[in-house]
Amino acid sequence: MPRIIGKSVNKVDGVAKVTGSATFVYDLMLPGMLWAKVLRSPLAHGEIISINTSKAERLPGVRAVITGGDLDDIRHGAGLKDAYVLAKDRVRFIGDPVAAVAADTEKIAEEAVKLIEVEYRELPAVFDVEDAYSITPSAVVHPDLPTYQHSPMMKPRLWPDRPNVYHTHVIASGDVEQGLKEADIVVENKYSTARIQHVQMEPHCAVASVDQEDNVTIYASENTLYACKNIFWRAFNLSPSKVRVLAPNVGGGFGGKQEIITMGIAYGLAKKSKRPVKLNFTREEVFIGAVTRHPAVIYIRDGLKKDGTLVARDIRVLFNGGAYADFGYLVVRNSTYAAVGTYKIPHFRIESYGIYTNEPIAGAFRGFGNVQVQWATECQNDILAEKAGLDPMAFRLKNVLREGDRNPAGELVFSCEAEQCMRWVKSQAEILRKQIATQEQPPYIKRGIGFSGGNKYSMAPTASLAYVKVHEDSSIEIRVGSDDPGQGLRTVVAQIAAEEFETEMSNIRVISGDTQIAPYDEGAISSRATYNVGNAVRLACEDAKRRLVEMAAQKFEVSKEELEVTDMRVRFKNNPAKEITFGDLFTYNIMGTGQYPKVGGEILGKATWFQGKTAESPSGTGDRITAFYTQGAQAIAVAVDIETGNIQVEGIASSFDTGVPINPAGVEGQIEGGTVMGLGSALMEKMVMDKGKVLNASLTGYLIPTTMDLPVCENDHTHIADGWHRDGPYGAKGLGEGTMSCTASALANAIYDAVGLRFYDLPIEPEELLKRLKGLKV
Amino acid sequence: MGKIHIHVDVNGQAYQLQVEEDAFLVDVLRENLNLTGTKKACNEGECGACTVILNGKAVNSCMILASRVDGARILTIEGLGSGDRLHPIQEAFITEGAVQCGYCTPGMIMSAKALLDQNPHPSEGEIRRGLSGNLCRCTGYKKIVQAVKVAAEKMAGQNS
Repeated sequence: MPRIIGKSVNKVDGVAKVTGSATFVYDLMLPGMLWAKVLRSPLAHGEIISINTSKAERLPGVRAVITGGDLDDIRHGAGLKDAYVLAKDRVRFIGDPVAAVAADTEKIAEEAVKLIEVEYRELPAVFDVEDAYSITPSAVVHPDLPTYQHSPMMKPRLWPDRPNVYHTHVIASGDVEQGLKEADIVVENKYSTARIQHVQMEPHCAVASVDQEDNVTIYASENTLYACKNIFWRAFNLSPSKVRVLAPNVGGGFGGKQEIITMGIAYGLAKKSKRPVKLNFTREEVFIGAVTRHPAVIYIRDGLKKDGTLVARDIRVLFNGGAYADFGYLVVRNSTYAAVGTYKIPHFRIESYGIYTNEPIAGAFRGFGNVQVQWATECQNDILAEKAGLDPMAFRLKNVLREGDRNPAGELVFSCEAEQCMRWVKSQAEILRKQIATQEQPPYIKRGIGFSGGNKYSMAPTASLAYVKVHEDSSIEIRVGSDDPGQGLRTVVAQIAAEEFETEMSNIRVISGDTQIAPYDEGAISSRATYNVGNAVRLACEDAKRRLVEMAAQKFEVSKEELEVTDMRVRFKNNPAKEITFGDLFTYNIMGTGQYPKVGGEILGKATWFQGKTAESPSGTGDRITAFYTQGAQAIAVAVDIETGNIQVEGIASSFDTGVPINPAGVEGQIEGGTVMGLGSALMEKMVMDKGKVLNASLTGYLIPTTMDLPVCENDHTHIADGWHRDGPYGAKGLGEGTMSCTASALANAIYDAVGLRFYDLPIEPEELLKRLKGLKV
Repeated sequence: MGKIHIHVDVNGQAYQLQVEEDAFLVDVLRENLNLTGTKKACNEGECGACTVILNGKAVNSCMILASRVDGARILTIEGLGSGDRLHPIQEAFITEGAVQCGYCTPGMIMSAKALLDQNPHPSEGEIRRGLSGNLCRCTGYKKIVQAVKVAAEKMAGQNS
């Protein structure tokens, strides 16, 4: 029986965070440090004719000014190399960085940026994704796209007659046209989602310095330490051995801190000024200069049998990728798994397109495109249920994937508790219904409950590495290269190591956020960290224990088969009382101060966890092409005020399958947080765009949920399904992104239940609701 | 731009400071006094990350000119708790799992402190209203609201 796994524990960094002593990048002050500011393009699309920085350079207190011409970077990207750190000849969105200044104070840097003169030649621009996708787009954002370099592991699928499409991915199984023909009812709709932003509470920040030997040290608020390091050194053609990236504490990521947008500029300025440089984004820059979630247009055609069997589903998704592909290159591909993860569909096709426009960059965002796809599929499922005369959960349960099924991508289904989640939510919804029925029922309030299922795959192939170091006081240090932007990875790692060594978490020290001492990792993305890092840590602990046994065997002059590590000692298997502490395997130096192992170097365990995948057919199918699927279901209760259009969420019931939860409190926190982010996307979040300009780039103009937008605690029910994954550490899977997969559609379905109106576009704002309600009355 | 001389009491310590006329309290706390526990996230009074308690009231320190706080008593996150002992609100934030990334946490805790100082037995609605100026993007607020409830009970127990 595990001792610590599965028990809610306090976060290992909790005390630092509640006392304000946890250090974030913006808190750092290095000796001689300068402050940076960025000049950004005022045009959505244009050629740079000339840049004059002389006035800015002459301003007292200015120590360096850089433009794209000063940086000898090559194009970089997350798979598709299409971006420079600073624009070199062309700007592609309002906010594209063009030049930057480092000065003694932030104020001087701000003033200097205004003195830089840039002459542009404006070019036609394209904003609408359907326009950009067309064969006659208003503008071609990257005329040189076919010549761009790309990852050797993933070739871009381009269309010569659709020049703004930077990638395409298709999964097809069965015969979708035939399936639609065989269906009794075909339901066809178009859905869309707005451009939204991560709004991490901590704005993006980097502090860079370059020493005399050209060693580069960058502190950066990132949620992918190694991805950022690797994109960075390749962009500047540096040696990875001379680049150290550190992320102390990170104030929220959600996929939006994976770029070198701050570190590249801070580095360029540090190199030129020969002083450390801090670049901190303003909140406005977070909206326009960091990444956003892809607005998506989703076309869907479903074929239904009268008995409620879903026989065919055909989806085409257009992702508005903005000016550069960024992690959107992978979003295009991986978003397609959203449609295969929950239901059996014999005839299936999804086509996903990544499309350049002259809008802000869209990148990774909690759910990686899957949330947009499921906005459509789960609203659609409600419509289908009604057509079949089934209640919403009964329809889903009729078509849900179960152990041993093949999903529409051909994968063999295992560790799938979708049905359990749905059944729990269905029964909990009845309790919710009773809870809210006790409330006041004025005639202008209409109440309803909506349901949704949801899933999120985790990526494969992928790798995590871990080190374990045993110290002379027998304490254990774990080094991981993955990130803890708040989700609690450091705590989960400490739990796993404590479990492996049968000790208290207080004997475990977890080090992360430093590429110089922590090993390679693909980072806190794709809900992958607990599963992959957890496995690497478990294996590295085993490796360290093997070494401890070998050392003890030499010391006792016995065979190592006679020994084992239990309860923080090496013991004789047949006589556990005969034992040696880890510390006693070290030898003292002559002063009695230092200790060392006499042979073999430090007591280190190390391991790689590699999550592979099986071969993929040309139609995107395979036996196992993902690591795992998080499953979930949700019911949301709303009260709609038909006089004001106000939508109040009165109750939530959530159930998610994350395998065995390592830290249940952390799992609940993810479910509650992801749900509220989903509610924001459904009810209020929208970057208002006008010809490429963001009109509400502030927290005054762009609203996110507050404490007042949510139900009281006793009407918010969270359930962790009883699950287990055969390959996960102690049976665990991941969770972070799936928690947002159900919410928007459950909410829209609740509005339908309340007032009989279907919504196809997010967010659902009160004005729109009211307009539609009035339309109904007329 | 002229400098202004102010006297303030921050976390029980008296300071005499020369501050720029247009300097905001958040920057003076962070840069002059190295009290970086107070966070900056929007600089327009919308998010509450910079909340401190000024003469007993929770305020957004990014909206207050330092030159206007002469003679004031200011409490920041660093002044909460005594010595190594955490304040009950801090303790409850840990035990209830109310902390994720931690960036909103100091401001959130200061708002909770101001609320409980004025209203030791708040209803859930009062807690939600009291924290409505503090944005959190990680937790969904439920565990934060629960932490404040737990802290209120604990503080009531200590005072009785």
